[in-house]
This record gives sequence, structure tokens and C-alpha cells, in this order.
Amino acid sequence: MTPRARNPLLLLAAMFTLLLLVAPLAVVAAISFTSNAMLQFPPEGFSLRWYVQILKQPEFLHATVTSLQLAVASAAASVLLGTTAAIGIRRHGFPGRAAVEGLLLSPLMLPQLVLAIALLMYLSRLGLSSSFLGLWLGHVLVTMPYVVRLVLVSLERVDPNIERAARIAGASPMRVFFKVTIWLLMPGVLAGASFAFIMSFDNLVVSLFLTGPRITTLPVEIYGHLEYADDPLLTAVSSVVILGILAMLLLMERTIGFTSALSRMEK
Amino acid sequence: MTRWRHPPLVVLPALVAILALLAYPLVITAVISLAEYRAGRGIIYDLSLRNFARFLGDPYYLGVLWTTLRISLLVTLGCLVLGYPFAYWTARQRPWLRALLLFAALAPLMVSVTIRSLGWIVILADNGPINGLLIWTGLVERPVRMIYNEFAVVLGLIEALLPFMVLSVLTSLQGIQPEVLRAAAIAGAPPRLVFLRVILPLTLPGIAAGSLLVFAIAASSFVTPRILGGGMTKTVANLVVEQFLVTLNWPFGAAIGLLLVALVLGVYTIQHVLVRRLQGNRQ
Repeated sequence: MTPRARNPLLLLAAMFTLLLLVAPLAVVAAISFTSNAMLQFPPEGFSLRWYVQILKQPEFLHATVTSLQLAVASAAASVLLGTTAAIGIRRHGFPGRAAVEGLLLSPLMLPQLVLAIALLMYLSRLGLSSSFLGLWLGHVLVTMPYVVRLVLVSLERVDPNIERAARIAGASPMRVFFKVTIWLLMPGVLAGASFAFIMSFDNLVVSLFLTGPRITTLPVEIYGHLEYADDPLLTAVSSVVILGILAMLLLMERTIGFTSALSRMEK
Repeated sequence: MTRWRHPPLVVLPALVAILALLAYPLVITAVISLAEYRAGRGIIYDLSLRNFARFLGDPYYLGVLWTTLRISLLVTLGCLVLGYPFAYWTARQRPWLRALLLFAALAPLMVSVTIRSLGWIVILADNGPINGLLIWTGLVERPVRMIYNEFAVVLGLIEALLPFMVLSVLTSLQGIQPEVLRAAAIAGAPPRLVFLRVILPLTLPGIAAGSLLVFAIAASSFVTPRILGGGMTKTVANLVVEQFLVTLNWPFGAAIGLLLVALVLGVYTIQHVLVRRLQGNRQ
């Protein structure tokens, strides 16, 4: 970049944007420690009463457990399907390869709302709407493309000479795959798994259509409470989620690079 | 010997999943969009374009479409005006600070939109911090209504979609060779001219990609409009949700959904052509 032009206006604009991005989450976290019953900023006093309150609300705990199970199951399926598909696309020449790649990534392009209504009409015919299985299928559809994308990028960066060296040293193709290739792909696979987990855990659009009286997820539960939000309980629940996701992102940043993984996905 | 290469078996599970969970459900959606819903009798498959005609011929629905396009346009402009300076400034920082800023800008993207909307409800409330500040400074006497209107929806969407714009612009900024800028400076161009004549044109593909991505996502959003608009601001996506979860007119909802897909795919096509043209001009 150019020798830094220290423009105070530029600094001001950048800080404003940063404030805008961080403010909603910071406010939610701050209010969760309020000691009164008002959903108001700045909070008054300091207490953990709203965190204690969560434990007395079984619906949030149930929804959280469902969301966690769903996120783990979706991430696992997405990693299996997405990794194998990405390897197949990059390592084997076959006609229509680009079309297959485009098809596998297409859920990222289409509005999630449309995926959700299409799934609702399909799964309700199968009697799977408002079931864990139905939710899982829906979440796999929206999380798998992330894994495909990140593993494809990973594959491009793998130096083929490393695998060639293993072959020359006498390893069988299977052994090369399990002892070499898989480990070279690990950062991409882990990034894909983490994104799939978070995207499933956060998902509201698909879940809203596929949940029901029998089963619900945390974002849907929060969404339902938002319309008559009048006590800080929701902020305490949200703060726990924010903290969990933040911890996961920091861990990702230190190990595989969350921001760089995200920028690779955008391209 | 040449032999026909078939897709390897490892691709099949994912391919089957996509065909079963995306392609086939979309076919069902298309068929249902051509059907008719009659209260009390359910869905009647008599295949006509009635639902599409109903949407495109009714001033009310066209009004909703216009609201959606207006909001999406405002959000895109807002993201550009707020995101570009941030990306530009971030790109010039030392590596450790750049990483920190980028993390702070992108982490909110990973938190559910419901939680961020909750934050905005509090910030924009009549007794919220912004109104408190305005009253304290004496600028206004009574709280300004900032929530449950189009302003809140646009602001919430800008915040939600800013990371996409920042990422897109930052990527194209980092792609600029330092030599190009040095050459411009040596040739005697003042910093302002370097920005207008060199940096800005070189980041146009990033601006185009980011803008159209933001526009496409904004045009199909319904959660932020629903929560921060308080039911006052209706978007096309809200109509779809209403048809599916309230009035249960699936055929009409499916038709509106497909119109939304057409809109988004149209935007992506424009992006594709535009980015290609911009990059072609550079060479």
C-alpha cells in the first residue's frame, strides 16, 4: 500500500464501522449482567441472576441440547460428504466436473429461504417435517457446500510432490492417502467442520420451517421470544452463545486461521 | 487407449444428497407453484401461471417488491460507504493489528442474526443509549422513533452484511502491487489522485462483487425486516414466510419464492458479466 496517509477522517470512518459491527453484541453481553428486570442499556448494577434464571427455563436448555446435537451431526455428515466430493472433483478428470462442482456449491448461491420452503414441501410429504431427521437433512444441505469449498481450496495448495515422494518411497496408493494426503488436507477439513458446526448452530431460516411443536432449536426459540422480549433473560442466553462461538473462533484463528479461511471461501 | 472417464465413486454420496435435498425439492416447488390453493379443499394441481400473474398484477405485491428493492439498494450503498473506508484503513495497518481488526469485523458474521437483532432492539429503543445521548445533548426533547421502521431494518441489514463487503474490498485492495502505487507517486501524483485514478479503479471488481453479494442477500432476507421492522416493513421474503407459515397457501408462496430466485440469479448474472468486463478492461 501507499506510504500511510494519516487521514483523520478515514480513521474516524473506520472506527465508526467497527463500532457498528461490534455494538449489538457488546450491548447484549453488557445487559446480561444487569441487576434489574429492564431490557435497557446501560445496565444497572451487576448480578448473575439472569444466568441463574436460564437454568430454570427448561425450553432454552432443551433447545440448546437439540442445536448442539444437530450441529455435531450436520458437521460430521458434511465433512464426510464434502471431503470425499472435493477429492473426487480435484483428483479425477471426468466430463462435467465443473457442473458437479457448481451443483455442490449451489446451496450457497440460492436464497436459504427458498431452500427451506422446498425442503418443507418435500419433507412433509415424507412425514419428516418437525423431526430431528428432517432438520438434520436440511442442515446438511446448507453446511456441506462450506466443506466442499474449503477442502477444494486446501487441495489446490497441497504440493503433489509430497505424495509423489511417498509413492516413490514405496507406499501403496491407499497408504499414501491415509498417511499423507489426509494430513495435508486437515486444515481445510477442520475449517470446514468448524464452519459447518457454526452455520448449523446459528441457522434460523431452514430451522424455522422444519421445526414444530415437537422439536425446536435455540435460534428458533430465541426468535419466538424476541417478539415479546421484555426481560434480560434472552441477553443472558445470547451471551452464553456469543461466548461459545467467540471461543471457537479464537481457537480456529490460532490453529487454522479463521479469517483467512473465511476470505478463501469468499473467492 | 482412451476410455470414458466416469465420475469417481467418491463424488456420488454428495451428488446424491444434493439431488435428493435440493434438485428434487426444487422440482416439487416448481410444480406446486403452478397449482392452486383453495381454502378447505387444499392444493389442486391444475397447472397454470395464475400465482405468478397474481403477484405481478397486484399493486400491493408490486409495492412490496419495490420496498424490497429499495431496502436492498440502501443497504448496498450503506455497506459500501461504511465498508470501503474500513477495508482501506485496515489494509494499511501492521499485520498484527490488521489481523485483530479483521477478526473483530468478521466474528459478528458467525453469531446468529436473532442475537444481533436483539442488540439493535436495545440500542434503538426509545429509552436506549442513542436517544439518551440525543436528549442529554439537548438536540431533541422527546425520544426519536428509531425502531420498528424501515430505518431500523436498513441499519440492521447493513450491520449484518458489512463483513461481506469488507472482505470483498479488502481482497481486491491487497491484490494491488505496491510498485503501481510507487510509480504513480514518483510520477508526481498527489495521494488523492493516486486514490481516485489508481486505487479506486483497481478495486472496482471487489466493489462490484461485494455490492451484488450484499444486494442478493438483502433482497431475500426476512428475519431482520420481521424483527426490526416490527411487521411494518414487509419484504418479498416476508410474503413467502407468511404464505407458508400463516395462510398456508403453499402454491402462491412457492411462486413468490421462485420469483425471488429469479431476482437473485439475475443479480448474480449481472455480477458475473460486470466483474468480467471490469477485469477485461484492466488488461
